[in-house]
Amino acid sequence: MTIRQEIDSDQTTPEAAGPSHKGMLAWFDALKWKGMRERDRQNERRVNVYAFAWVAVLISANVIRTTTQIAEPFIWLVVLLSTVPGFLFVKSYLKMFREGDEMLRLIQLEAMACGFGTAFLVGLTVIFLVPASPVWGIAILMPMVLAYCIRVILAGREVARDAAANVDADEEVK
Amino acid sequence: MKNRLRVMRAEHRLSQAALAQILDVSRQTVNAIEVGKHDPSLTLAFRIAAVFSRPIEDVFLGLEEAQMAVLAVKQDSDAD
Repeated sequence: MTIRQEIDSDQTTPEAAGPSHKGMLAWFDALKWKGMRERDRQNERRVNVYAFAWVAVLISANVIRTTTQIAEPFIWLVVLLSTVPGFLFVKSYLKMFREGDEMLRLIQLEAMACGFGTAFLVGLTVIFLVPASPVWGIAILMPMVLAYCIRVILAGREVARDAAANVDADEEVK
Repeated sequence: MKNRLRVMRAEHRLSQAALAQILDVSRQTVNAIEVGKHDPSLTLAFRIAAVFSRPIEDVFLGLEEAQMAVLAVKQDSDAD
């Protein structure tokens, strides 16, 4: 068996990982690296599911708040309930980061630095040059999230490409 | 950090995937360390050395320079 075949048949690849990767949950496997540990893949999928749930609940809570005539205490209840998936998201992200493979952690750390740097840059510019407005929050949050996501995707692809390119060299050594 | 991981892997007839499984890391991590794009953590470096039953300085190169620097500092402080 060549190393290419060995890697292709590796139990950690999504193709060989079994029924857990079938269906709609497979959509949440953002980085399908060949050779990625199953634990990392599960953690990452959990983070993505909670992130989507959080956004869905936030949008729903906002719709309920703006379109319905609910008494004041109940509005706060809706707002508080919408933070539950957010809390689960943060908890699952920390778990992914703590248990993550070294490359995964490095990528996440760089992505967070990119996100923070972008938010700082855009935030300072907006706060100093744009008059106070409700768009301040969005103007800072959106570039931060985008910078984080773009960095994760690019770095993940780069790592996967390097590893794939090195398989042939790996075979030569054998 | 330069290292002899590829050579040692070849000596032990281990693929990147096999070594990654032993070390409980992804194959991408092994590859990144091998090509010098990622410096492993101290724990992982010791685990790699343990897999090949070699001292850590046999696997990772450039540590001699650090040892020489330490010796130079010691000599300077002794001279003072």
